[in-house]
Amino acid sequence: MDTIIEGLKKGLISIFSLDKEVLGITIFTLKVTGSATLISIAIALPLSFFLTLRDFIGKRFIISLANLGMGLPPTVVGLWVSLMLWRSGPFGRLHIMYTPTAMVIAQTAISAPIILALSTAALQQIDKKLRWHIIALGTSPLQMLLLMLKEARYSLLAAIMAGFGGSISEVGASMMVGGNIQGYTRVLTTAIVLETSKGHFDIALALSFVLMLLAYAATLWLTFIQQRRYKNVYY
Amino acid sequence: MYIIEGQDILVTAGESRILQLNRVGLEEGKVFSVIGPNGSGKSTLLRVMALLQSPHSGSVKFRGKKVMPRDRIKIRRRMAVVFQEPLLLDATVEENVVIGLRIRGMDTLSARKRAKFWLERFKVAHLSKRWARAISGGEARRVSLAGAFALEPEVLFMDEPFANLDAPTRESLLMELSEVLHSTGTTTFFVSHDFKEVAYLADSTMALFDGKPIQQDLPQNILERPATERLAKFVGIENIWPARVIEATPNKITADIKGKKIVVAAAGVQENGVRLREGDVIKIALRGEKVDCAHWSSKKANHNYDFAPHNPAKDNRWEGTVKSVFAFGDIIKITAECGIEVKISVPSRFLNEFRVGDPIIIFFSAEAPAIIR
Repeated sequence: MDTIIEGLKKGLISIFSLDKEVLGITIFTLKVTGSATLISIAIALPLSFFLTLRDFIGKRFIISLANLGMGLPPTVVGLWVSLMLWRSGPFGRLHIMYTPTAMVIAQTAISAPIILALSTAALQQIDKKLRWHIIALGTSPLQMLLLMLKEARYSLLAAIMAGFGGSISEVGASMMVGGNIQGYTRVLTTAIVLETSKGHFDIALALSFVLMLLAYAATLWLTFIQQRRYKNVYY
Repeated sequence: MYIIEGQDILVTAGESRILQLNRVGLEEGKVFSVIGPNGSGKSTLLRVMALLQSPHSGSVKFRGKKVMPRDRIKIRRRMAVVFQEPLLLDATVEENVVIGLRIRGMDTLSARKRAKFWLERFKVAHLSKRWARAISGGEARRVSLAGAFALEPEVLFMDEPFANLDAPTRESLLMELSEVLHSTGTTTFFVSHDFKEVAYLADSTMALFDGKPIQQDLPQNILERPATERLAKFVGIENIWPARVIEATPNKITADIKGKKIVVAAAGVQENGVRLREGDVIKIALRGEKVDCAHWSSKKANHNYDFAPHNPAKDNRWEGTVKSVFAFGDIIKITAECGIEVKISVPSRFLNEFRVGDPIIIFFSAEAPAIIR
């Protein structure tokens, strides 16, 4: 119990005193996870529109793969990304193993299927007749996509937040492809693992509070937007 | 020339043919309706004509020019569609009306001004700032119509615009829509399964059954002289009897229905393109409202319908007894046994005039019955 209280104290001190190392790790975590989320959005959103609007052979197979990807263990992702980026691997000559780039790639592989699966479900939930209404207004393909995006915005936002959450909370892949190098590839989750293994529970707890705070800030933002929507509906 | 025209349209779903028709066209400024039961292909036809669904074969022409895939968006921007359910975007009522105008290139200020005008016209301007998903079904229907008319379309498509509305809302909206259609002269294509709506709004009507057109005519003719027995039942004709022609002259047909003689004016026969001879077996349809009746003892006819130019008693006059009397709101349905069963509809003020077992005289003009295939 003392350890927890001590950890809580130290954590709060680290946060409010803007501890240089904690701050550095936090900013780096946000950079890596933010980049991975943005790349995932860029890949998953157009693909989910394509899966929603086009019928083709193998469509269900792709959606099932995306659904499978939602539960992909980060260590498996870490293993596959490592194999790809390893010196003798197909992309070994890029020399990006144990770099932030490798971490972004691994986190993208984790969050992109989550965003793809959830955003496809969100777009497919738009009533087909509403799609006819949108087309009947005389929309160009781009205008139609924007209107559909607007229509499914809350569910899409939830998909993005889930992708962000999946990336920021994973540890296995970041550890495997980033190497947890201090000041270079150390993120909050890998730092927590390291400090716990060294018996520095107070620092580990401080880092975990920061991580939870980030996760909560994201959730709070989403909740705020969603509740504003309900206020609009029921006033 | 038709403003929009479909030719040799075929729509299939797997093995079954959902829609198959040779030609359908809308004349400028007219209201054209398609009537038929659920699943008859009405909505599919509307989607094909509104360029929302491609037929498996056939073509759609807009102002005489075949619509090519690359022209679709451009032409859609000259049309508007109101769907069966009021489909509104997750935005305010005003935004829902403005969005279509913005898509068609109008600046925001002018679009808001136009939206305001049409929302006022459909009596929903006070809901402008309300969230579209939070308004009632009737209000949403009005917003949908305001949105469609705000686009000032060259052709307006409406898919059962009064479905799922309560009777008073439906009636008032029907009257308002009729007024707007007449004042704007908007060319309209609308589908419905309610023949009363069709009779009220349409200039011409096509009856569609199982994806095939059965009859295209004035709404009144479809209601009174349907081409088939199925259509006759669909438009609410209560009396359909098999009969045998015993005399056919250029002016009238006399037929036998289980020993009862019935006289039918030849004009009605010719309209359906049926040329009859003595001995032909036919079916005769007679709408209950077209039958007049009188109590045997009083001999006082309730002249609830105009039988001009004939004196009804001279054409068809049968005697019988009242078998049942049912009140349906503002009308009474009487079933009379006259050797054959005849269903009659009279205004509710005659409710106490007839009781089961009473003797009754019924009479109807030769123009009242229709011969169907």
